[in-house]
Amino acid sequence: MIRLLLVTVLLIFFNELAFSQKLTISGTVRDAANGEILIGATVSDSLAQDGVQTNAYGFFSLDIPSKDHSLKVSFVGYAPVYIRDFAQLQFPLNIKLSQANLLQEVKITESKHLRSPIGSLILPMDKIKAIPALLGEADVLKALSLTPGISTGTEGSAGLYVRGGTPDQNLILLDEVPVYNVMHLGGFFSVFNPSSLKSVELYKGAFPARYGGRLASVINLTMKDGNNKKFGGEVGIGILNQNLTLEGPIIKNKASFIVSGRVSTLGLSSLIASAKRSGYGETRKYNFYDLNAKINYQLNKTDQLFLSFYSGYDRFSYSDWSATKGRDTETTVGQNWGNTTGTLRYSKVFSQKLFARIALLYTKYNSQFINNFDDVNPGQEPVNYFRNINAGIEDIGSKIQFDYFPNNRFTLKFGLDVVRHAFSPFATKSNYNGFYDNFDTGKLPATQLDAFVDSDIALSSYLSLNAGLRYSRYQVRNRTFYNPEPRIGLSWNLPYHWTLKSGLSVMNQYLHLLTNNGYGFGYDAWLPSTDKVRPSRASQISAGLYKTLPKVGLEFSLEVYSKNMKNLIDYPDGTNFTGLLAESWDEVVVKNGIGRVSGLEFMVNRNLGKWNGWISYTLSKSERKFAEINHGDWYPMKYDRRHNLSVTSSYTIGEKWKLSTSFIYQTGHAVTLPEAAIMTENNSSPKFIYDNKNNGRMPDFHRLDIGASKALTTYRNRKAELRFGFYNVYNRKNPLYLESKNVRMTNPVSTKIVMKQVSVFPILPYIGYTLKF
Amino acid sequence: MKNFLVFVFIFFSACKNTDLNLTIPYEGDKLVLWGKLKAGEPLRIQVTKSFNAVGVIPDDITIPNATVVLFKNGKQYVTLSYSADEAGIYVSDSLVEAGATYIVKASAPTLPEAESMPVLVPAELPEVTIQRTRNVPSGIDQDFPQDLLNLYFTEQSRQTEQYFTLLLINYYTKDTTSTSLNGTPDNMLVQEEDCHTWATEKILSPRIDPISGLMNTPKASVFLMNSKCLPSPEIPVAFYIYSQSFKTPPETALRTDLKIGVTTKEAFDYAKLEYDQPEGLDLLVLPPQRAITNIKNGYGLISASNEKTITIP
Repeated sequence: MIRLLLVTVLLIFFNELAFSQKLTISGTVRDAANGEILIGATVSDSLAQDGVQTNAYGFFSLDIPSKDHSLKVSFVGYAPVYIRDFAQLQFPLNIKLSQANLLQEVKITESKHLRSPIGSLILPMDKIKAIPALLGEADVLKALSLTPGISTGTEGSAGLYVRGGTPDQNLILLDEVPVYNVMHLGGFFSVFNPSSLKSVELYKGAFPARYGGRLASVINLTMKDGNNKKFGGEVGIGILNQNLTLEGPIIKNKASFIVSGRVSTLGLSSLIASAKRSGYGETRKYNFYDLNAKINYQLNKTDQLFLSFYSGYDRFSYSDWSATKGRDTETTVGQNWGNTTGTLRYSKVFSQKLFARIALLYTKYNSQFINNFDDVNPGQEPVNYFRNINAGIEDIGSKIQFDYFPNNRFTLKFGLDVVRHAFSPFATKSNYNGFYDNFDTGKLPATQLDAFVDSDIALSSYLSLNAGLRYSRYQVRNRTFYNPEPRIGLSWNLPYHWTLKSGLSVMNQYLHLLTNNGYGFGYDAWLPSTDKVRPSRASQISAGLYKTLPKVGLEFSLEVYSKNMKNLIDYPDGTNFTGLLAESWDEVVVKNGIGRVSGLEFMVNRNLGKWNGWISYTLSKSERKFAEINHGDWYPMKYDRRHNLSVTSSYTIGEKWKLSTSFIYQTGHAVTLPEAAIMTENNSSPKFIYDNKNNGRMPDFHRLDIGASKALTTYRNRKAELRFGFYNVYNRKNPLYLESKNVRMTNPVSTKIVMKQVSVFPILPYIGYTLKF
Repeated sequence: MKNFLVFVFIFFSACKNTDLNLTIPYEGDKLVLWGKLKAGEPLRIQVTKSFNAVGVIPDDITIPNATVVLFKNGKQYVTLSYSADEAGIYVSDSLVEAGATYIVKASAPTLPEAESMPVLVPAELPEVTIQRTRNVPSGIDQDFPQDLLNLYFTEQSRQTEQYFTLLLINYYTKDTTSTSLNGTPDNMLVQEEDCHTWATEKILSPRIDPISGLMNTPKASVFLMNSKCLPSPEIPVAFYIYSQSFKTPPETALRTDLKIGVTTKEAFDYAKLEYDQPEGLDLLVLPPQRAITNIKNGYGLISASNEKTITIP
């Protein structure tokens, strides 16, 4: 295999020498209106039908046989630009595309299928915003869950289960830095404020070698750079959140900023909570916020600097208080969880064929459980007992990557990632009698160093190979793990717009999440691999068949995959998180689990015209096996869903109205049902006997949402949008969880045990308003 | 604010409970053996049968025609007879011996034969010194007078892993009731989830309640703890207790007894599982826990204990 690759690379270089009359054109593609970099824009030689796509920094490099050829630059939603007469131009080019008029049809002449690896997807932000959502809150992660191979947990949850994986197996990057907590408010929506985002990329099959560290998927989110032409912004008012975004030039056409903030309406709950007065009472407080900020500075035509920042936290507390006879007591339990991330990136075009970027990364996730008791009694010393536990993680790291473009048939990306993790596995600070205090000393460091090389090779005009290798070294305590991760993808373009693809990838994961099953009420603990808990590993093979009908704007895809996982962890039933101790967590958890997943995914997508959208269907099976769980037998993963169908579409009426709809159907998730009931002397009601794990299924889940938006023009020609719609239009009672009840029967007199489902979201209207200025 | 109120209204008015027809696997009826072998007390085992987890609960689940045999230290010891006084109970006048190992085997027509795992009756009892401070100003509930109960366990008590039980009974002029043990905020053992749990235990036979005049079975809340979590001997395991009745006017207990004992690990694990078993909204995030049983081919739990009663000064 290696010999074949070497021969191929040599042939490509020989080919390079043979055609030395060629002209190399490089540059950056941006939005003409605001200077935003366009990621994934297509730059093609209109005569030779040869083309490339811009990278994450908008850069491309393309060889054309002679200066007589013309260049076509296109991007979905933008009017294409044609460039001729290269003698007059200075490289690298700065190409600007203008957004197409709403009614102007943008013809798709080339499918993204041809170039993207198997199992990858790019979802435009305008499509995400158009999907009707719970209480009108557009959500990136929930939008992704409407695509093949991805499902969510219980209703409302934003945790993603990608190809039978768990939410912790998704590497979610925001401007290249991992975000560990991605959910607010019990998972009802994600921490990513759509107003601040520019693009969303998903990889779930053949992962490019530049990504690693998780088993199931890579979700790469890029924040907007900010308008470098003029000052503006938008304010959004919704039922759950209010948001404000400001952006503008710092130095016109060279430097810009964007600041976007979002606060929860629920934060106002503390204003109506009962005030603490005499007697007894309870107080509940909840709020969250998100703040995104970014500055970018184009130093010159080749160098650019980006500084990104994100902070978002949830705070929940419950206190039980009494104030009698001058004495105040208060017992408080609370959870605070959230992230702070920062990235400083520098990109440089060294030559027409070499592009480089270096990034300094910082990310911190805190997950604190707070327990506090105060007793203020006149004439006595005030009493305060507290116990705070943190299960957080803090990373400092750096990435360097070079993109080398020897010719149109060969692209090489290589680089290094280094991260220093500092885990706080249940670090405790307490003044309870006898409790140890290791809050400051209980941090566990780990270092990860990854080197990668990723190549895209056009073996012929029909056959292309993506071959890569990632090699990781991970050190924790006195143990070092070395793991190679080969990645291979093949793409074969067939006549009549058919494409055949396959992929093989191996992934390692050095972090583990002990979670409350992904519902996002905080206290999710990220923990390192150690000598006792070995790194998780997954290998996946996949194959796909794609068909494009350019005239009608239709794309079909059919993918099959099989994935095996090992060294998975879980926690024993009944384990209490707060009872886990820093020194013993890796002894308590259940280790050495294995998993197997297989599935078939189908998607048809229409990107053209007034009516567009997609239909997605997944058939899959995901199972787990641990020696200590379920008698050591295989059992379905909780969110294993055999069938998953979604239909998402939108229709534009005139210049102002857009109607949208989404329907989802999923097989009910696995649930542990009682296998018998018994009566005991000490209890008057039946006790259930649970034995096999996940031995039953919840009822099927399905829901239809509809929405409409109207583009408005307000005072001083400012653009605005009014959105309204209905969530769960036909009021389906989807089960959130099951519980049993004893029901007294009168004829004949008896007691009956019935299983009941508890549902939360009936038909819900929503309305939202966004004003741009 | 208005938005918030609308949201809260929608959210909480939206929770719906609907009956559901689910296919629940049921293997058929099996014997359920239930009993605690208390050192020095007569043998008493409840024998019933299991039933489907969904549907009408059978009127009668007792098995009056079972053969219940007890094996002591590996040898057949005694056959229990069906009680004439209590439905479903098999008894013997033989006393349980501390330090002996017992196995219960039961069979009945049409049901699979069930057999317990060997159960060792604890031989030793914990050594504890008790200190009581009456009417302490601090407490968990300021409206009712409370006493502080400090229990000092010896170093020997925490040498080996054992499971202690604590149960308090107040004796009044006309009534006998259990009283709760409420851990003080600095009671490390009570704060640590894995170190303790609670269970319910019958303390008297069914009787007519002297206050309400209704038939009831007095039960007590039992505190169970792992000896490995005990603090050093100079640090007490501290509880607030009520020494007065909650009726009007309140009556101070004539006597308060602490029943302290050692029980088997299965009893602790079972109580912990039942206490922690998720209910209601917890089921959203926590799976039900697998049932603990030490009965082969059946369900239930045979445990053992050794207890002593101390009158609190």
